[in-house]
Amino acid sequence: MIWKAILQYKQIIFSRYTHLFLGLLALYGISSIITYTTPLDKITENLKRYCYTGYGMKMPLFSQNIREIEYYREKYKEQLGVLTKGLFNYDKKDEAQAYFVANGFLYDSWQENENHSYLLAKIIEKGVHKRESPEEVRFDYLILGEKKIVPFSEYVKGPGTGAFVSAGEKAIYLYKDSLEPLLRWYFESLWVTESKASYHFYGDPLSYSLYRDLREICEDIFIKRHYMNKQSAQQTFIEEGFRVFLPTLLSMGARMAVDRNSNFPSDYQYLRACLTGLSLNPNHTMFYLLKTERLYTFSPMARKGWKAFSQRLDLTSLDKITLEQISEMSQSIFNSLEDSP
Amino acid sequence: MIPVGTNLTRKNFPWSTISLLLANWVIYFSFLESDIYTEFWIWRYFYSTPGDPYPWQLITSMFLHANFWHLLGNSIFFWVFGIFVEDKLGWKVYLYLYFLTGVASNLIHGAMVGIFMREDLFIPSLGASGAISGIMGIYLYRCHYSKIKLLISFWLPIRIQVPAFIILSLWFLRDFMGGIDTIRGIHHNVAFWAHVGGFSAGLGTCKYLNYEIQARKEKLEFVAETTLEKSVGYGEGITAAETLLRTDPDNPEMHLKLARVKSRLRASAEGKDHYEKSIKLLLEKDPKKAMEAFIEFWNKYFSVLEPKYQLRLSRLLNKSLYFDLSAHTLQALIESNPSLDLYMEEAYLYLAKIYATQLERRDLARYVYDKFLEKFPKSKHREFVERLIHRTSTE
Repeated sequence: MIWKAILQYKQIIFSRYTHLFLGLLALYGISSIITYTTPLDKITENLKRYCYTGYGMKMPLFSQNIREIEYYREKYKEQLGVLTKGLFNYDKKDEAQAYFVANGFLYDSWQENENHSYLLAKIIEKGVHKRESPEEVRFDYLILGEKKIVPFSEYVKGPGTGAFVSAGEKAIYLYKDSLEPLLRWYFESLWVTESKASYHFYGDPLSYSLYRDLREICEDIFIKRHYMNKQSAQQTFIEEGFRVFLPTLLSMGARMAVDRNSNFPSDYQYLRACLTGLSLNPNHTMFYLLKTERLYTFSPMARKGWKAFSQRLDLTSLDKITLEQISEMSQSIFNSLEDSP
Repeated sequence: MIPVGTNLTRKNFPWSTISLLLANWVIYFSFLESDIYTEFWIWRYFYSTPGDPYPWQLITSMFLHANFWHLLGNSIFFWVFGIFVEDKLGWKVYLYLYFLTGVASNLIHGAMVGIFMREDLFIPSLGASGAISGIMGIYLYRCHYSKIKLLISFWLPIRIQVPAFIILSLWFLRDFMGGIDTIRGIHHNVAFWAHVGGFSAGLGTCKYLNYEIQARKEKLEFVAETTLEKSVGYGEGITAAETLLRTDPDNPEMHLKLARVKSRLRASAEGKDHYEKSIKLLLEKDPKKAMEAFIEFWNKYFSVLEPKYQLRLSRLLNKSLYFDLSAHTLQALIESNPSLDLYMEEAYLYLAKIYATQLERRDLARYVYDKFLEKFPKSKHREFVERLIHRTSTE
């Protein structure tokens, strides 16, 4: 009897079907290791769902399902409470910020045109910037990338429509994401087309603007082909490209820092920052992007300023627009703003 | 293109496939009108979320579908391929491999997302397509020789037949390319890596279980079955049947098929030989079929088998009310076989009995009894036969 049972067990153990089951268990183990997510990942994901359901409640498209969204938001909040237990209290912004900063992320939330807006992004670089003209200003800045949670305005408008800069309570945020996808996309297309001469960049207005701003880098990478390895070429293009635009971003940030404590509406502050940036450190790419972007403005002052911006300097003759013209035009619109000094 | 069937035939009713389909549809309709509380509960705990998993999600997600069309599409593919895989493997192995490849597909999908698309780790996946792809992989391995009937589209009801290995390879390639697209960041609402994973798991499982031997055998059977009955172009079938018989010489069906085809135009020694082998083997497995085959054989060759088998066959014929044929075959046996063993003794007595009782030919019965006494003077039945002759002569 025992011998028969042993034989039966032996048959089961050595059966190929059992081997397959053991193989499946091994696959489960490997997959579990690969798909392992840290508590930070889980908290981030839940926070994202919580914030985005909050955005969803404000969007007319989902107004029919408001009860469902509310219920989901409540559930995400419950889960967030469970996940953050012992780590930080989600309702206290300072505690949440400290937790995310310790993990290399910036978390912020604020009121934006009657909507609650959130931001969670990776901190790429921290620094202090000092500028003496036109006004003396010293501010902390953070270069942010890989946005996990985008502000409400960007969520509504869709990807790739984020602001270049914004003002936080303690620092000015410079968004690498506002330029990086563009640089990446143009790198891919230019690398594939194997541009041999400068006129190959005249194909579309944005690549032409990029070429005018990043002439040296473009020639090095695409025409002279100094980089054989695509990955290192791409990295150089993005890093160096961003460095070229950084002074403009910092000038924008400086204006934001000066205006931070004013009572200007946020979209009006943003207009002032863009005009300052382009007047002090003009470049073709950001000028083109601001000219062509559909900006949603709420304050009449901002709307008036953007209208003037869109009417000046005709994009149909892009090749005739110079950096001096961009700078002068931006300065003159800025000066014409009612609150300008 | 929508698969609507294959050119294979089933031997068994597909209970497991129907049960699984039923389970999917019942679950779908049960939760169709569910409230948001239930919806959230299902989404959170029963969909497969690689980044925040519960082990049971690997199974539960296989029974949940996003919408009617998702379920309908899966059901069509499952029905077309599942019924034949179940028929080939048997329901126990079929169910085991369905769940095994289904779970493997979810795990491979999770692993690919974890390696290449980490930002999607919290996007849940659902549906039976991973397990169905597994079944399609098994189908490709086992039934690669078959043809799939395809409907061009619902709006264009034209049916075409395409070799299974071509269409299944193309489907696999499409899923693989879709998977590459998702890695490159092109969004699709389909878990392509679950399909690729399930399909590969199905193929790998078949390889590990050494299904190629059965696949080869089934292919030969299929070729033999489909071509041997044709009036022309059955040479491939003959080769297939002969190859099969080399590995399995005790296959009565194949002997019978070969006997029929080799005796179709004229009687042949090979045909006769296959008939005899088939009848002898069938006598052990399916006596009724053996008798039917023998009738065919008799009509073509007017010949009998060895006494041992022929006696059984003649008895079967007699029981089935073929009295004349039974008598004729015994007569032929007696005439063709000069040996004087116990089988022959029995043949004489049985023939005489048929003449006496069923055919009411007492003269012939008397003649057979006389012959019996002449041939077997020392038989233990001698006294009994003499008494019978005496009784009939006094009557």
